[in-house]
Amino acid sequence: MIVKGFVKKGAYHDSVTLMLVTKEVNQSSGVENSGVVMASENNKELLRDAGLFLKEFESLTETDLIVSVCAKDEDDATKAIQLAEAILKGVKSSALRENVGFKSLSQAVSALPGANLAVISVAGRYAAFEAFKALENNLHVMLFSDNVSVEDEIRLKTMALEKGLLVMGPDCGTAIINGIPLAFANVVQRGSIGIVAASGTGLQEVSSIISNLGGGISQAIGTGGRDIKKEVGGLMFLEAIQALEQDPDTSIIVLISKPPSSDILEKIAHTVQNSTKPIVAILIGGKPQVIEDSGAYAATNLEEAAHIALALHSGENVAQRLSKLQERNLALIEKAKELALGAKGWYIRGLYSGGTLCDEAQLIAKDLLGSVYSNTPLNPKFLLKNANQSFEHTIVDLGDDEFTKGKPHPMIDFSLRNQRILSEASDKEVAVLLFDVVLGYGSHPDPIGQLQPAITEARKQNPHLLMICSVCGTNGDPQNKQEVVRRLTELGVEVQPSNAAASFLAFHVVLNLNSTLNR
Amino acid sequence: MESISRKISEVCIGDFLSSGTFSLLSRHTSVANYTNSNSQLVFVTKDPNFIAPNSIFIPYSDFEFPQSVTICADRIIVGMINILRSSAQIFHSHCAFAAASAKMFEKRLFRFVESNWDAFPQNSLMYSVFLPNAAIINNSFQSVWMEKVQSATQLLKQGKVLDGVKLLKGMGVGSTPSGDDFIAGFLYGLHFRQQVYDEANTLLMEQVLAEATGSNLISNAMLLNACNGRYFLSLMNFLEALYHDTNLQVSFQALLAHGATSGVDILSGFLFAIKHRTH
Repeated sequence: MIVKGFVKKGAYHDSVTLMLVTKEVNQSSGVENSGVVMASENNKELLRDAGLFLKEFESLTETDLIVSVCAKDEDDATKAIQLAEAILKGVKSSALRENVGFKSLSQAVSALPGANLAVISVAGRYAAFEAFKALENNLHVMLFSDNVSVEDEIRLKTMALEKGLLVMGPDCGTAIINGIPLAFANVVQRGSIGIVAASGTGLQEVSSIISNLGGGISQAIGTGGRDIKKEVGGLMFLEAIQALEQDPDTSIIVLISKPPSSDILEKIAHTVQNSTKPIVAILIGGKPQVIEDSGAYAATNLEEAAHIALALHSGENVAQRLSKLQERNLALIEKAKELALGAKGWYIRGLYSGGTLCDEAQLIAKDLLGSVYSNTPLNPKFLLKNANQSFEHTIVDLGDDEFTKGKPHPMIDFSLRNQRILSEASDKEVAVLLFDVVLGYGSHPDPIGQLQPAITEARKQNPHLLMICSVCGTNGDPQNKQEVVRRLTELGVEVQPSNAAASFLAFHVVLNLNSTLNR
Repeated sequence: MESISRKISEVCIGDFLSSGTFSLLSRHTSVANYTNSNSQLVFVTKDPNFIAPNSIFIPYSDFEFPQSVTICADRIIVGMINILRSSAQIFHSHCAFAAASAKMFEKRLFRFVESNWDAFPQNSLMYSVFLPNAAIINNSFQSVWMEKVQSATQLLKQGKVLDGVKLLKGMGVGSTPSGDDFIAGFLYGLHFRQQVYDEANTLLMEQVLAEATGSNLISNAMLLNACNGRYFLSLMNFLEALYHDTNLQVSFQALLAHGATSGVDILSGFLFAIKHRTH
């Protein structure tokens, strides 16, 4: 046995880092014992008693860091010490070592000459500059960053068009290119359905449903929500449709967005008219007539768009496929009656992490309950005075800017949603909680572990509260949809296969309650 | 207890910030520590859970910690950010515990710990002190650590507080080692007891502070806050949640997020002081 030490003077490291060092060192080959501590007198005594003390530690003070390792031989001890040094210097630990970090885009390009796409996720004020550099290097760009000016967005997209490149974003949270999920995206099967989306969770929901029902995705191109606004002119949305039109692996195209401005809608309709491939469009909250007139299939919600695409893919009659969805919805109406029998209160509160899913729920609510209050309402008259305070029927997008400034997105950090679940549960007028769980890369690795305490506590506070949700994702996602659904069901949550189905069920429960109460 | 779960979303400054120019001492993911020539410590944080009396909260995730912070009577300058004190939100760090509900609060605290063992890290002092048989001991370092913790808490139980503190001081992992976290929690507990049971603990708290103070400036600042009953946000929210018996899990998760075990180690010290009122 040999004891070897490493000292870092005047080094304050947080306990999470030091625990990581301890864990990695202890797992290092040949290591029997180790101590990673600040050199306080008591810690030095601890090291002495554990047989880990070395003479060189004597003069150290409590602002110095000691890493002491007892290993089988010199070689193992040296390796463990080197590992500790590397982690403390910020070098990735063993599990992540294959992901080499580069300090600049040009460094990365020269190390990987065949690369043709850059994902840019830096602070907004630097993002445009980095994107220009990427375009100059002939790379397609996925611009995850937001807070890029509209002027920069237009300049970037114009430059990209000149070079025959794509700029997805800014504020593009998801894409699947050549089968590779980028940013917040799901692990879906590859296939022949291509997607163009100016809506992040819209893309995730449609691609996941298609994959879960046996279809596959060729490419899923995000454009960023602002692309379809008048100022930007749908530059990338239109370009992406063209790209899929020319892609030999794509046989059906799905378009997803919030309603574009009228002149862009005209341009999209014109592109659709000239397309040789079947196109399905879901313009959430928009009037589909122009799109239908152009020859596209206009869906009324995301789930329907996925089913139409699947029907076209398999050669099935679209109307027949949609009638099966209708049958499912009739069954949900019956289920809602049963659920309403055990519920108390009359209001619904929707707590969403996906912005498009929140919009979709509001649209479905509009048909059944009328407009509902929201921080992102379809009808401006229903804007919540205080986004933190629900009023009557309320559906909030917790991923909206006002909630996420300086904070992680609710798909990653569940604290805000958990707080909100508990505050809604404490309101005895609330009968139904409706929410989404979005899986995939980028989202929290254990969403149910995060939600469970709040759901359990909410259940204690309000035993009659109905919780209805959908899980956006696939069994291939790191979180595994099947497992997530199982755990939610065990917690007494009613889980539906899509956001549309969950919303439909939830609003019908509320309809039943309100008719019972004669309100 | 006038409010439940303070929520902070704007720039917020603690109510106990020393003045002067502070230089960078250490930089972590969401916190950077700064000291001045008098060895006083302030820290800047991007995580609202870490807000404390000597902290400045900047709610921008892409904010980069600067090399220095200047604190004046009317403004605070953090890199390029100029904060007017008159317009910043102030974090008030004192808790007014109502004596009438104290017993109920203590019962809830004990019950909460008993029913949440699975949630505490097994390498935290919560296990080493209160459930040693279930603590993680994989090597001789951890076993020696366990013995020391047991000896120290035995001394505390016997009323030999300063001897126990001497053993715990600076012991364990982290920029605030677990032993210091425990002592801070213990001081919060003594302060709580003084407030609700009128115990005359001031002298003892000052002695504990003097014994525990060393050359670790981060620990020193935390201990000074604890001795004066100045709480940090997530501990305050958790204790308030216990008082009101609401939002418990959410505030507990925020407390758990303090370091690898810091939040739980502080809670262990607090619990210990409440449980053992023998001195």
